[in-house]
Amino acid sequence: MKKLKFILPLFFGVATIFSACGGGEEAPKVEENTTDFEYTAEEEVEDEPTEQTQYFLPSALQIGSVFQKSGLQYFDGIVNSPMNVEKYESKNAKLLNFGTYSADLAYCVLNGQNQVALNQMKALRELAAGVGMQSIFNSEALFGKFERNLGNQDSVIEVMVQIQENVDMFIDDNNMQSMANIIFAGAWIEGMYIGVKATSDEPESKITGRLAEQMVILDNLVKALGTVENKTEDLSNIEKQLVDLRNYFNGLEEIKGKDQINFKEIEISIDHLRSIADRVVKMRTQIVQPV
Amino acid sequence: MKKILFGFGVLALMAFSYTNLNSSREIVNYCDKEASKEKCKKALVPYRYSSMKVTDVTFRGYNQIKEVTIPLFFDSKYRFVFNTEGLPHDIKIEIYDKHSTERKKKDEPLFSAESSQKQFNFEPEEGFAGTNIYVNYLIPAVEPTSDLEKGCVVLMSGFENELSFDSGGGDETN
Repeated sequence: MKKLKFILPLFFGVATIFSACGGGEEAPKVEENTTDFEYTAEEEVEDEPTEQTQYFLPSALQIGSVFQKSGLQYFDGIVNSPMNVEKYESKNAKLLNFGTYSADLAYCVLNGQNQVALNQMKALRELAAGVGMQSIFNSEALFGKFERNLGNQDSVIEVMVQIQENVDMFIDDNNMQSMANIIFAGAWIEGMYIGVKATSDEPESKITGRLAEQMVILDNLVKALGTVENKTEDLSNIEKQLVDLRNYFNGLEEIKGKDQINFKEIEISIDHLRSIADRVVKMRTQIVQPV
Repeated sequence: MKKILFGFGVLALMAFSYTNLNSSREIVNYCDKEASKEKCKKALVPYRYSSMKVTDVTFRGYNQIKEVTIPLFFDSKYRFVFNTEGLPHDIKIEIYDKHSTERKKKDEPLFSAESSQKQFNFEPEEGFAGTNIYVNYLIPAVEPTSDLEKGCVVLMSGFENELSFDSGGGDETN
């Protein structure tokens, strides 16, 4: 009888746990079965992402083309050195710099610097292998195609587009949206860095519009990074600085309180621009030159 | 004592059957990403591929909404291609210029479509002043069946391919 006293509560305990775990998926949710469409908390459904809001971020190639459209020139020595690739040890460092080299690659290719682009591509390939994404190069076929077509800008761009597609598919197939968000953070910061550095004797108004336009996606980037779980210290640090940059930009007197901003005509003071540039350079340095 | 143990066994069996029933619904996924992706890519022409997002949809006994936020660059021309062939039931797609938390009931979508169209494009109007668009997938409740039905919407974006023309149509650069 003593045994029974022990077994029965144990049994009901186990049964309760079982029903709580197994029944979650299909437990009736009467309170949410309304006629209006409601945002519902997603249950644990196999491999489906749990967040109800997703972020659709542009490719590095598109960011590059926006810069190019605004007249950004090519300057030697701005891009991250491919020699740095060995410095990136943590997975997050590899992903951030995968983004960095992607932006550099776009910058080089769009400016016809295909030999430099080849070196950036090699760095990308190495980092891709380091994070288990080597398949994005289609067993080296894409890399070979890139190498063979260095003299043809359209073909080189096509290879870049194909790699981007493969990255998107890889991320989706493996349910790794967090990886995409980290990669994009690296690409965006590098894009901003190039925008800041490749401006030697351009009028300030042109630079202002270019940088301000990129700030459009900063808010989405911050939110997307916020969904990344188990951030390493270096990534958390970058996230904090991005939040700080967003808050700084949104708090500028030129921006604050405006519902619609005309990025073509926006005027930001040189001091504010310098402050934005300094923040971007600091973040970029931390990414490409980890301590 | 034997009766008690027998009763205990029956209870355990019932509990096991209950939990097993709940987790034994077979998942049937109607999503064929590769096929949808290829169709989207064809529909992007002459725009240049930028990004792609596959939104997984699980049909349930209650209504759901999923929202995708898309930032837009000022002065850029876009095409968004939606392919909904991978859905076992119809859903509604609405695109707004405000986030769901900022919208009022009277706010009309910029664009709306039924997934029964299978594939369609959306191009923001030139001069669109917003910085983001918000795609809402309105997923209706379905009668519970013995299978858990899943599907997907493939969304692909392209931007205007001015590059080749500006550079003289495929420069031989090195």
